[in-house]
Amino acid sequence: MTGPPLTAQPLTAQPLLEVRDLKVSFGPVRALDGVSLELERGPFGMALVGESGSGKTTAGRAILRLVPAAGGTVRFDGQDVLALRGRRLRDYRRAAQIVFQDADNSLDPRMRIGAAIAEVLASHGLAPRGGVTDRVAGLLSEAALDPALASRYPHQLSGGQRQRVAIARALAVSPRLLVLDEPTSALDVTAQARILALVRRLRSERALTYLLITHNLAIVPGLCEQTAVLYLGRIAEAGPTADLLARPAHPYTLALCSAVPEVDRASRRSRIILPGDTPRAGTVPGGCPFHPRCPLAIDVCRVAVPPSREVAPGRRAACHRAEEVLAGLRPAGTPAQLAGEPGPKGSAR
Amino acid sequence: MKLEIRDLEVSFAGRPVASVAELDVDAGEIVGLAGESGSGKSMTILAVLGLAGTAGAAVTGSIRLDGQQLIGMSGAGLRAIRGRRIAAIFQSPALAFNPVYRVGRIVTRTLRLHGLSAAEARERADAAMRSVLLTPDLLHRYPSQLSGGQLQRVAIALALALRAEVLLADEPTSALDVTVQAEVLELLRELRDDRGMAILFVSHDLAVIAELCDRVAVMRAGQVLETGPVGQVTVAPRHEYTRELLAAVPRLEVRP
Repeated sequence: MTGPPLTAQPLTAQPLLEVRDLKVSFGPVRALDGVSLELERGPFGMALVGESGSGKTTAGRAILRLVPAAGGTVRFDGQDVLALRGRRLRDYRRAAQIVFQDADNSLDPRMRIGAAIAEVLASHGLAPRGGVTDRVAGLLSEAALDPALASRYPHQLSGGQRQRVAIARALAVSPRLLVLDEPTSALDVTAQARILALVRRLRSERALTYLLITHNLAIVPGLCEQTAVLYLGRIAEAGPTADLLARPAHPYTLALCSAVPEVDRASRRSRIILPGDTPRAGTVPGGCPFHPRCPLAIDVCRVAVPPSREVAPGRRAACHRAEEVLAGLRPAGTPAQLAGEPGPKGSAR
Repeated sequence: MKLEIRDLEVSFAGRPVASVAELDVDAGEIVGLAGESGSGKSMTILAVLGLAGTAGAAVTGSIRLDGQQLIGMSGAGLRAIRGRRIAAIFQSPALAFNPVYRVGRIVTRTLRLHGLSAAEARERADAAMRSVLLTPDLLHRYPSQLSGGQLQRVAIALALALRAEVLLADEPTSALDVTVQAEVLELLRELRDDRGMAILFVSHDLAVIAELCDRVAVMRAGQVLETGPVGQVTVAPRHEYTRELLAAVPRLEVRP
């Protein structure tokens, strides 16, 4: 995406959202295994990037208290989010909103657009007497939609328009934190570009802090100061977006970057095809969780879990060979393995 | 020419939704069909499969496979070609597999419908799975037990097992993660280069088309706006709309 370059802001006294060692389990499955993130006061964007099954959606939901955490802390504006109850939890739900991937499923098909937005206002006691229609019209305009759409049903709108409605509805309660969970994956590239431009405008107009959850690294530059790459419930690496994309420290980030399709031949990175699909969180292999698919794995990777550590100023990575990767180490070829075949350590399902 | 489309017009109640004056796909070639939702690209695919009529559309013009006219062909004639010589994969592989049957049963049943014996069908299914880098063991699973990328590869394996000459691919990677998309694109290249398949690849993403295709046709509102070699169309687009599509492609910008 083009846009003004985002520079990392100086660290302020207290971040808006501070996630420490967050863990989420579904039965025996450890979906999130110790994730730490810091989101500054807006305008600020943090990208959480990974494949299906990496835990990125679970992370977003645990932060919003939509799934229970099994450990760790989440602090929002200094408050302990995981301990919130009753009225305070309700206040938090208002301050932290989410936009889901599929607006088809997040909008009631039997409810007109205007009513869907007005309902949110009413349930938070924010509906101005006699002024709801104006308020809804204002929110639709803010999301670059014709206020006349308020009388339409979701199926009468395009996918991109529905996603704008979802954004307008999230903004209705003036949130300070927005979780955008794959907001453009179901859209055409043209509709995607318009949604991303909308987020970029809102971030400055509303001084928003947001967590952008995506599998596509290409939509991150221009929107997020910081990026965290998630693999099997752990952060593979994190750091300032521009630096991280220019000089990845983790082989998984290299692979994610190389997978982005590029129009210009000159921009194409040599493709690193990862063998097999992401293993499910229920079968995390021993040693480094990424080693069965890693083209740079060496002996130590098969036995020792790499700790997350600072590998360059502002850069954290969990890879035994992070320094080498930062210095330019690249895989020579792609290891061949049949996907779905049980690996030596049960890497496949 | 393997697949030759001339003056194709698909219309609903007299309103044209896809008009393609000329589009060829040769053996060993991948041709892209680019455009947004509603541009008519999927309708073009359905017309080639002889299914647009089933959807209630009127189809006129000419679609030839190795010179043989498909429009107006009998149901039995089309059934012998569809799936067997012209295969198709779609955006959502989960919808392409009946969830109550094991994947292998769906694959072998299709092969048997096209005249293979039970033993031949099993053998071909196993071989095709290996060629798409999947272990044949996955055939014993139910569709819900496979990932989206694995299911899409099974769908491609089915086309391979039937020795299809033409593959119609309608947004086959749009629902997949970029990493899995990269694998599927690599597989399609192999089908073109090693098996000489003729592939018509539909996508809204010009970056994917630029990486994969040899030639491209850009569609909007049912009309083909421009066609040409991929390098030419993406580097020097003649139509303003093509420029817009190109501008919408997200780019990493920085590179190591």
